Amino acid sequence: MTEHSLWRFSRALHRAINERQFSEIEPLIDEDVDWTIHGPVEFFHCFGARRGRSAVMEVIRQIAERVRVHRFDREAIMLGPDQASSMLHYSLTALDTNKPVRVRLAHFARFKEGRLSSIRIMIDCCELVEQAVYPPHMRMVAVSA
Amino acid sequence: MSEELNRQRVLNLLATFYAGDVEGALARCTDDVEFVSPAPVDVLPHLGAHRGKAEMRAMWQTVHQRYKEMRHEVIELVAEGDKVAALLRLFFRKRANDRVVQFDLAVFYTLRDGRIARIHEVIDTFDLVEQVLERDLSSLLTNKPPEPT
Repeated sequence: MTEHSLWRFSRALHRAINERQFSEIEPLIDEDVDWTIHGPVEFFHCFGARRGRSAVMEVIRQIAERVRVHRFDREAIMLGPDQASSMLHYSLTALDTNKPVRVRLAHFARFKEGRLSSIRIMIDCCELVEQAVYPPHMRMVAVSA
Repeated sequence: MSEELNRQRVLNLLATFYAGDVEGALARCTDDVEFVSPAPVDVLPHLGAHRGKAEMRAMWQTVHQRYKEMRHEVIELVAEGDKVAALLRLFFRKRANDRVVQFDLAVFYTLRDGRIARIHEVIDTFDLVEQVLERDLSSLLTNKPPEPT
């Protein structure tokens, strides 16, 4: 039984982020990949939409410069022939502050001939902004100002 | 085979709910249906966690009371065994001022005996709160002037 493309991609992505080993993941990304992380680009420059392997590799490098993955738990996973979707909880460390960050996300990925051809990542960004940018009391002050 | 059936069951639930038929949508759920949508409940008090048809009815009726002309597009649908994941693009028109809220929503469904037993959502809550409040939170938090609309 052949391993699903998601597993190879997931291992390579975590190696890229934690060990800055980018050579493993690059061939697993389609040249014309469509990549989107939904979220406020004002706070996280690596969010937003990208097209093409080189743009996506740059995003992965940016993520690797900002965080380290401590652990992740898959709460749900669905695998189709060339599709995959997961809901995950990540425990990260923000490298600039050395603070822990917990984030919940969902992804929908498509693969073509074993390579990632599209991915959309949804993140609970209020939770992320509160932890990584502003604590909750600061957020409330700013919103009510 | 069951995956194809479950895909269709989720599509039917979505079509029924977004057509405004809350009771029809509830009929497609188990009596002990669980719903989880982590969100800032100070802004979106109807989200959070709910269990059972009575709580689901109250939550879904609140959504329909706040919005009209609700429309959905299914962007992705992945099914495996008794689980289905959907990525939806939603368009809700506010009853209060006719403004449209547009957002993407990831939903993970678990089915039991042909009915929806669990619904777990992941939303870009920052974007949704900005649209619901009609405030540019990024500008407020960064002390930058808001983008002209």
